[in-house]
Amino acid sequence: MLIDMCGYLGHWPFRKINNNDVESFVKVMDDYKINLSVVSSLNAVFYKDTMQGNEEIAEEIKPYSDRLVAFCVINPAYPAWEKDFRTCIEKLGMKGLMMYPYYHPYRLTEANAIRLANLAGEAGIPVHIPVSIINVRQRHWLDTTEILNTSDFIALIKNAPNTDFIVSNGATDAIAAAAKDADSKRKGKVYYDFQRVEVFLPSFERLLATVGPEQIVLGTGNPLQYLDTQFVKLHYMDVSDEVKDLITYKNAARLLKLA
Amino acid sequence: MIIDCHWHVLFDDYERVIQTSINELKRCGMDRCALMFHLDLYQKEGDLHRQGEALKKVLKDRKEYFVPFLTVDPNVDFGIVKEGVEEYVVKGPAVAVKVHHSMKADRKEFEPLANLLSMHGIPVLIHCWYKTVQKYENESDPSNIANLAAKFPDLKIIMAHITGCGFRGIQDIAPYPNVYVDTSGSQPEDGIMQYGLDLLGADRILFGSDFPGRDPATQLGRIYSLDMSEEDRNKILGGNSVRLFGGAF
Repeated sequence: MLIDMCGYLGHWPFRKINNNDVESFVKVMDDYKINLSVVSSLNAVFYKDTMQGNEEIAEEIKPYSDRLVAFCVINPAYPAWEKDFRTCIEKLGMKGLMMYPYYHPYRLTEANAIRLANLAGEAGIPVHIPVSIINVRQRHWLDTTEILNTSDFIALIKNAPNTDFIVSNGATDAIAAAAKDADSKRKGKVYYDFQRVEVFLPSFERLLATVGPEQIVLGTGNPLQYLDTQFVKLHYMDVSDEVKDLITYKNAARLLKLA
Repeated sequence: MIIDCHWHVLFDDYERVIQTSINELKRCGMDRCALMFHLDLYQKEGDLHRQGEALKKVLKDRKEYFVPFLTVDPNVDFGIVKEGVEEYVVKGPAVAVKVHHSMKADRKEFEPLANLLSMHGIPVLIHCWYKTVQKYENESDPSNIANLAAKFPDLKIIMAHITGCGFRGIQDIAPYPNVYVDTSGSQPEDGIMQYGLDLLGADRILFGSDFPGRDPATQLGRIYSLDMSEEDRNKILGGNSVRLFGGAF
């Protein structure tokens, strides 16, 4: 059983991406024996009104409701964001929230961002914040140079104590260490993926030692990144099958409240 | 056979890192890795000698694990560079040279080194990246590598960091059969390795991880993601390194 917590559908504005339509995406999932994938809309990140992207993806994944779970993208600096959030969760059946403070004009320390994260907690859904979507060094000139600000993130988890968070695609071992104290005092928990954490270098060991196996999930970045990388790392991880099961699906199933 | 052609060893702590490297090689079923000392970017006069002697010391009883490189800064007086290359590469134990981002590869001042390496058939691995931010002052990009390759068609050049070089970088060096690329650099962005394979062919791609920047598992994953024959995969994983760095085997 495999659950991928980090997948994207839609267009990446700065280069051509393969397998980013729903049929091709599911075909790749089949190739890698991924049972369930969380997806969110790349279009939503870049549309002025994120809701248009959320509506697109909700429609696109309908034929694959047993394979795909959608997270909505909400920009709390945009008008009527609260109504959009409620629509995504209550009407479109979305199971989580994506926040991009480095693409949208807000900081995680601002009131609306804090309120949005708390609304997610009240709705019982996780908030996923990628550290970045791509490596900024070879970014397009119009793309952001910012990534997730760890201090702001720690402030947010303190201000939204009942909300579960997912942090992906970055130095999650370092963020986990920085957030450990704050996270230990909360009811909600922060989960981390190992998309950019290495298994031969000490970073995976550090992540595991900091948060334990109950707070690590699989995230591939499909279709932006080659998937084998994550599976080769899984292969070489020096952990028990029990721990691998937690990482590859059990933690995700708990987070997504799957039966 | 799996050979990692891009593996740094911190010079100031090399005895410990060497043992770590051997342990990691065994753990992931690899046969050899480059032994490429990481020193100050702009080298001092005695650095080539210190490296050369350290290489000899390490390789005395651990030769079977490594493909030894001499890390050269072309800014150092050419007389000293020439002496170091002749003493520690031409005579051995090093079989190749690494140039970091201390000088762009198509600068006039790079030519004496390129000529020396070309004359002796010594391959050179050069750091390279197409960046829009965080660019180092004297960092080569693929167009610099292409210019060098055109001037020195007999010089075997390994352009490091295929993902950092991107589609355009692969296009830049495609016309020059004396340029190879390694599989390291950045995140394993989908599509770039496959494009490199399609445009350059398997004979011109070498498995390299850039350890300890990234680990071998990440870069092996890129290779296993590609649609190719077993024969081509074996070339990338190690066959091409055996061909290029024959003196180490």
